[in-house]
Amino acid sequence: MLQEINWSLLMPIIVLQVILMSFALWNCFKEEAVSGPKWMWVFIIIVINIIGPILYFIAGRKNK
Amino acid sequence: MSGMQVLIQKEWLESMRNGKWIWLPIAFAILAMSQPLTMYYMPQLLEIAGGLPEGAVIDIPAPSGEEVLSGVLSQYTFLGTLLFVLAAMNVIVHERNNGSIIFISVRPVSALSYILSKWISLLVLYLISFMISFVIAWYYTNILFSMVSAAKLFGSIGIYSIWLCFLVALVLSVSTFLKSNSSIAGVSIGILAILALASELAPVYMKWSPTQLQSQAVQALQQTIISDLWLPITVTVLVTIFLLCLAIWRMKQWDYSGH
Repeated sequence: MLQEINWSLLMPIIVLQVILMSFALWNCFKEEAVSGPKWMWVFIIIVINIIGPILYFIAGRKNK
Repeated sequence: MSGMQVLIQKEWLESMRNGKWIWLPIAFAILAMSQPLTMYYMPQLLEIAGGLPEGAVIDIPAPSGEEVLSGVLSQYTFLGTLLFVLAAMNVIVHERNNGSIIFISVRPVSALSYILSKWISLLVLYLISFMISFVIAWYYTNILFSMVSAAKLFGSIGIYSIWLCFLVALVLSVSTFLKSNSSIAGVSIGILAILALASELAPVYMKWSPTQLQSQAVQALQQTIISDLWLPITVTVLVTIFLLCLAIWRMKQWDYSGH
């Protein structure tokens, strides 16, 4: 089953997901205050694939 | 209009800082790639999901490239619109709530250049995210399915871009009236949903509707002649101008002294 999948096709999507996640994490750590506890956002960013980082950027950042 | 360039630069700096220039294009690229890939691996996905009787043969005819790209566009109609509205909802309210609008209001900046700078900078970000992701989807479609001509692709992109102009103007206009992020997103999505539902239920009466452009962007992929193209384009351009004027008019009513 897994051998049938051409990984070079899926690689770009995985790389983009990793970039999105690491950028969200970096942004979250850098920010002195986010809305809600920081560990909660770190958890959301890591656990929920794709949607987690987007949620963080839309709802997690405090308007300064 | 002299302050325009400075305002647009400020907007870009702002969206660089809050990461919009990174996460929005990436989110759209992922959205665009996942559609052709899931359609390509559909038989394997069904097999993994299971539930098929022993010996069942899955025989799904391979979709044409045009059908796959239409699928990508329908992803944009739902998830894409949601992302576009959510990314735009706070651009004005954020400045009103934290008071930086007062600094802008004491400078010789007209409401016209303020609203236009917001509109242009959001639109450029959205158009770039949309185009890059759609071209990526096209690339994948050409590799995995059949070739779709570039002329059809750009026709479709052109029609969809007019829809984006309207979308940004709508969210900006709504956000000059309301003061919370969630109500702005709610009202904007509500208006778009009503328009989409009306086009669905009474297509004969809704030929003018801006939402019609979304289905015409799909049509542009499949055939060369698109029915009733100019009516929705004209209406959408006029409505966009009206919404921008409404936002400018509304901004002039704001009371800067309190909240």
